[in-house]
Amino acid sequence: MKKTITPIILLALLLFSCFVSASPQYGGILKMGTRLIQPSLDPHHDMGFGGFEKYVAFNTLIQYDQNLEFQAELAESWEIPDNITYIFYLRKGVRFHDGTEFNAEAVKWNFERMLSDYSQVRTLFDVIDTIELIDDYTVKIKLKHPYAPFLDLVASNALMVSPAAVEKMGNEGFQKHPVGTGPFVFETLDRQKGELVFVKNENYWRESRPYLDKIIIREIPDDQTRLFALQTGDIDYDNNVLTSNMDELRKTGNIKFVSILGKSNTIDFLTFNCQEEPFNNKKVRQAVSYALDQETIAQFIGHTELIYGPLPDTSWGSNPDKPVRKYDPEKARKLMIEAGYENGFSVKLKTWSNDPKRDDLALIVKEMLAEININVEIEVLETGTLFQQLMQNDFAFASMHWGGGGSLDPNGNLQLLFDSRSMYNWISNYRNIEVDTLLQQALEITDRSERQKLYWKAEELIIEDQPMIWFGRFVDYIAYSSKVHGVEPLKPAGYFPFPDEIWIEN
Amino acid sequence: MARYIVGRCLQLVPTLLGISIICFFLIRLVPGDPALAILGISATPDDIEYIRELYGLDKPVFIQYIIWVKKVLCLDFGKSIYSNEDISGILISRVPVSFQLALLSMFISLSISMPAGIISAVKRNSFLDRLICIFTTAGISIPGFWLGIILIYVFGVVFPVFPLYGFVNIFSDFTEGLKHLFLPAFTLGLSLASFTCRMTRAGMIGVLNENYIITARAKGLKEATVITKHAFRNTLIPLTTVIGIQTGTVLGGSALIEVVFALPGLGRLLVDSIFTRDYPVVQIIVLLYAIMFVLINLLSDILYTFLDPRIVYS
Repeated sequence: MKKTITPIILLALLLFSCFVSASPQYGGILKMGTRLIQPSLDPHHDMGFGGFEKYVAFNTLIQYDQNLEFQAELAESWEIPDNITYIFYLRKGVRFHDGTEFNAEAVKWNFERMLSDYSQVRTLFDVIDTIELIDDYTVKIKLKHPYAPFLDLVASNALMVSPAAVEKMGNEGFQKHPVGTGPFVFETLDRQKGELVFVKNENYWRESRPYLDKIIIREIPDDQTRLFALQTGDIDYDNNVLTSNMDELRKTGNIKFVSILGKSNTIDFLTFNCQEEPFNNKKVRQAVSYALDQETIAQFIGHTELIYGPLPDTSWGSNPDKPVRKYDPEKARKLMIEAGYENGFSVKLKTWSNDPKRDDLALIVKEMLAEININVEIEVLETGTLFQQLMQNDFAFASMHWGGGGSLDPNGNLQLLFDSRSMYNWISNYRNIEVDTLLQQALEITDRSERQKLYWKAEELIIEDQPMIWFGRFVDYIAYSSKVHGVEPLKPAGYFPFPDEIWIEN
Repeated sequence: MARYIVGRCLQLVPTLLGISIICFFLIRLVPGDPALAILGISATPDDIEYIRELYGLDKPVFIQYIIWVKKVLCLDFGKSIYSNEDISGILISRVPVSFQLALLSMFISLSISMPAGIISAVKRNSFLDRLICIFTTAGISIPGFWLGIILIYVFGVVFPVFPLYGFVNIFSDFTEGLKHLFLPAFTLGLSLASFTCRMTRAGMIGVLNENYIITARAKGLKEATVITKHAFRNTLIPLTTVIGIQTGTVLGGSALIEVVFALPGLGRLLVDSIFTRDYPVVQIIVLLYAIMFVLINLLSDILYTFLDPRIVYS
């Protein structure tokens, strides 16, 4: 009874707060606690995804809205005359924080920097062939080959930095002093104190934004200490709350939660090596799927969102009516017999350390698979070691995580994982020529509804082949004081809220 | 004496050489790759190759070692693979944190443990002795990070006397610095004190049974003089050894305490660097530890001659 009441109350509170929060207020300081302030604040020198702090000072040419449609940001509009040409018409009168003008020249310079040896987003943008200036506010980008998720790439990863600032400070200086066109201007970074401060950009191009006067980001590595800081009001926004601490925080009251996964295509799964015994047999993979009861797993682990295929339901690349393999131990046993494994077999499940949810997952999977005579032996490795072994094809069954390939486009979960020529094919060694063709076609068409049809078809084939077990995805939370509003994770690839949308009640 | 010190310093050379070889090769034996550790699953083969080349990891390990030693001898510590910052710059910001924490916690430890140990020995088997015994047993067995979290909760959340976390340099703002350092130093100091207190007690009990103590008492010296001048001074020799080792350990920083209190010290840096396979940083820190330990041992050896004039080095 208690369990059902809490969500209802939360929902009521949520509706109530939506109603109250109709008119944003200006002013205030947002104090954010984070595990780690990234070593480099240069978005082109990005090791992995980084944190919120990387996006505060910058804009991209276009941006996603909450319905996952593209919106104008630094580009007022854009055109795609053919599937390798993208023309961006830039917003006029935008200035970088250092006073220099944002124009086509700056865009070209930025893309060239992203393609340079210094850049760590280089491989992402490798698809670009030429960048041409049409006039002061128009840029034409030609690709080497059709690549439909290019707009997604521009929205998620092409942050525009100030060329003049980089030339003045050098790359290394810029890593400690980011300068962009964004809603907040870098003020100070004190590594010893673990504090990073941004102040409002008074000349922001987007009228009447941002709301906040200041954002202070504090580095507090310990989860428990960060929790205390949130409870005492020392910070009012915690980037990453352990789910085990949520009940404690609920007791404190005045704290809101939002899933850190936001709209991202993040998934957690178990992967098979589709080219090696025993999982090279589709029937065995399907049997495992029938033997695992998703709902029990999610309940056992807790804070796990169900997914039913390689894409979460929020993605437009996933068919809401896709076929789903429901828990059915009878069918599982039958398939095992058909595959010639009535006596079962032993297999090693490789998983990684430092994650209690993943430990629980391995345990319950072991229990459930014992029912169909599969004896699971759990091997715990360090993340890097696990990836390395997978890359070297030294696995049969492994516990994995995928962050959407750094993109909100379905391509990041489908082509990158399942195309046999993809550089991430080692995750399951999945090979299906029909799927390859569909995914390749989807890359060549820029129309979203056309692509959707191809992705739905590919998704169906992949689910039939079952190269992975998509049991769900582990949710972590952003927790913030109830006086903070406008926290809707979306950027980039779904993880962080827009800094210019956040406001604080006085 | 001077010759002795010079000789000991010369011994540093083979020690450091040995340690540098061990840590250089050991960290590379650990499975994993800096590029993979940093980029995670999204590392493309290109990225991995790029990082290997950039930091010379594609060369044979032996060659890498020679290059590294040459550079370190010229005080060029290189750059961190993870943060791309100069390691000397990182050390300049990290070392003061660990040093200030270490000195304050040693101070707290000694000012608790010495008196407690002496009282415990002098009033052996009394109620006070038993009480101290309970506390020291608890102090040794309670993990530091747990005590830290409890202290933050009590003195930061329930009774907000001290700041929850963070570091302020004592030299730039003394009161704020002290306030920020007190809880972590107290946490660390308490577990160190428990051990030193036990050592003091054991040493004192041994000495108090010696004949010269009886003599001292017999010639009518005040009990306080007997205890401080005759008994305690003689227990200082074994204590110095223990305190020396403890100082070396805390100077290297305590990773767990530094994480709990968000102090950007050496211990946290070392642990983080091991996880990201940041070879250059790990090597320099281990080397730094080695130098500190050797120097502290030397210092305590020299201290012996002052504490006990019978000890002479030649």
